[in-house]
Amino acid sequence: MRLREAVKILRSKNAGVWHITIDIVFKNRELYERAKTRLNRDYFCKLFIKKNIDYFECNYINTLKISFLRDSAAGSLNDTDCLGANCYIPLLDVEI
Amino acid sequence: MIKALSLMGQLGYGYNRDSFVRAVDEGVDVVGVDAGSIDSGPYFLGSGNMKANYDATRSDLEFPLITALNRRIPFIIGSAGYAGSDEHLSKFMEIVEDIAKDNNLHFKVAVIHSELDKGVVMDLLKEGKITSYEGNPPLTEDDIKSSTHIVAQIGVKRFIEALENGSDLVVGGRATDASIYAAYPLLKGCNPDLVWHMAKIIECGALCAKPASPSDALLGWVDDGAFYLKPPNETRRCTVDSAMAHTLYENTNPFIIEEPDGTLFLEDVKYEQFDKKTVKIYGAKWKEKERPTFKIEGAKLSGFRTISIMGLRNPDMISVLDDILGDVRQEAENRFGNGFSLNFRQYGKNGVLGSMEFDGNLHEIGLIVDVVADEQPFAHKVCSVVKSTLQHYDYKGRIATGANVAFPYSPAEIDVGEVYEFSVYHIVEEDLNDYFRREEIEF
Repeated sequence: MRLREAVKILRSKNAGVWHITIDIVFKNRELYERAKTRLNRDYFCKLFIKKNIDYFECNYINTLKISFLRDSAAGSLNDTDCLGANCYIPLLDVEI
Repeated sequence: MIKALSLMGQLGYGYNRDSFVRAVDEGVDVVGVDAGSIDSGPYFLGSGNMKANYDATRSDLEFPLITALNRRIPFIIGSAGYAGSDEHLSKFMEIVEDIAKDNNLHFKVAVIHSELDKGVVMDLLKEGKITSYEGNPPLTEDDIKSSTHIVAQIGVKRFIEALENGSDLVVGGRATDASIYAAYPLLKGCNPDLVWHMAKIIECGALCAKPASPSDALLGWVDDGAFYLKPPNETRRCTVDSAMAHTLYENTNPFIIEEPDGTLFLEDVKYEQFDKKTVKIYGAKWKEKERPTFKIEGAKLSGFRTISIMGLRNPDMISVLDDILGDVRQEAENRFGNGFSLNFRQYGKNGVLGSMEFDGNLHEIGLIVDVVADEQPFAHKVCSVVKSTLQHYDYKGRIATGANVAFPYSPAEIDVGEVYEFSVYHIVEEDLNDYFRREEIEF
């Protein structure tokens, strides 16, 4: 199953000008638990090519949340996504 | 019970008048609205310009403000004018003044300034009181010197003082969103655990309702041991899911929210569906800081931009485009040196994800030649030459000798003007409240 089929919300957004945060809200507990067996901090570090990623399991809302530092601040000369709202795209077709 | 109304997610993008009237008729104790952010990039803070212009801001503010004044409901605005510099505040106050004059209104306004003198920030840096924000690069003296404006996100203290002083309207400079909505209930003695969590959620208006919209109102009230969220609009409702999901929004940590005055812990929060459109929430814990800390924000002028937009459709050219762009860049540097920034944005290939792009399918590329230099004419000249070189570039196997690219516009070069970048986004570990000057104005 692809991640996009298992979620109610899959979004990324700036959290301040230096961080991206991604919310993965699953449709139900079963899918959330299933995803947790495949996705973890190391997985996200590799996918987003980051040494450090803050990884949270929010059981009360069946949500995985990750946050990481941008390469440069939002709106820098080479930035492609000032709102950080498209960083979830690489997650759409991840198999869980 | 204290009832707070969030007029909308952000002033200047249209609000729902029916929702506002319905809520006010039902009875609210305070109306708040957030008028700014740092989300839209460094331009607004750097330039001092408002994001929503005079007309857009005035048309969202006029009726709600007049209504609130008539009914003696305090009205609180945060991040007025968008980014918190004195320039933003004075542009915003022109609107307030015009509304007052044109409607013959008499009321008391408190304006709370959030711009910091660069000398003050320099002293704080030298005293070691400025730290990185969650791992971003440390602040340097050059960052401070090059900034056009540096502001702090003010906390709740000055808002409360303004209300205590009997202000009908409080116009805050750059402020944390939650401070706008926390001030009045805290002044009235409500439980800070509940107040801060409610304030944090309602700041986006009906964005936390279903269907979601930032351009509609949200009611929040604090009662015995819980707070409640309800959209006044009959077509929307707050659900446990919508409220929970919103608590995650734009925060790096889902369990902890830092404010200048304290920290909000969300591990033990309970959400219950109270009635069809109302959610009941409790369980957050607020811990007051011994000494407040403040987030400071600054932006600097990085030059002037000229862009040229062109489409590429020839498969032979697309297959060797990276080599072509490398050559064109080299040629531009040989001719003009390196006193400019040249960026090729290739939409259809990797314009959105950059090096993260994983899909190799492409048949057409929208190319933006993006040049930034110290002077607009120089940026224009470099962009023009790069554009022309691409247009006529004789790549291997070229059979179409007319022009390599399709220009949608004439002229093909577009001068975009000043470009700003963020220079400061750090934490000050010192009480800055004394710098947030409160100005009292009577109309």
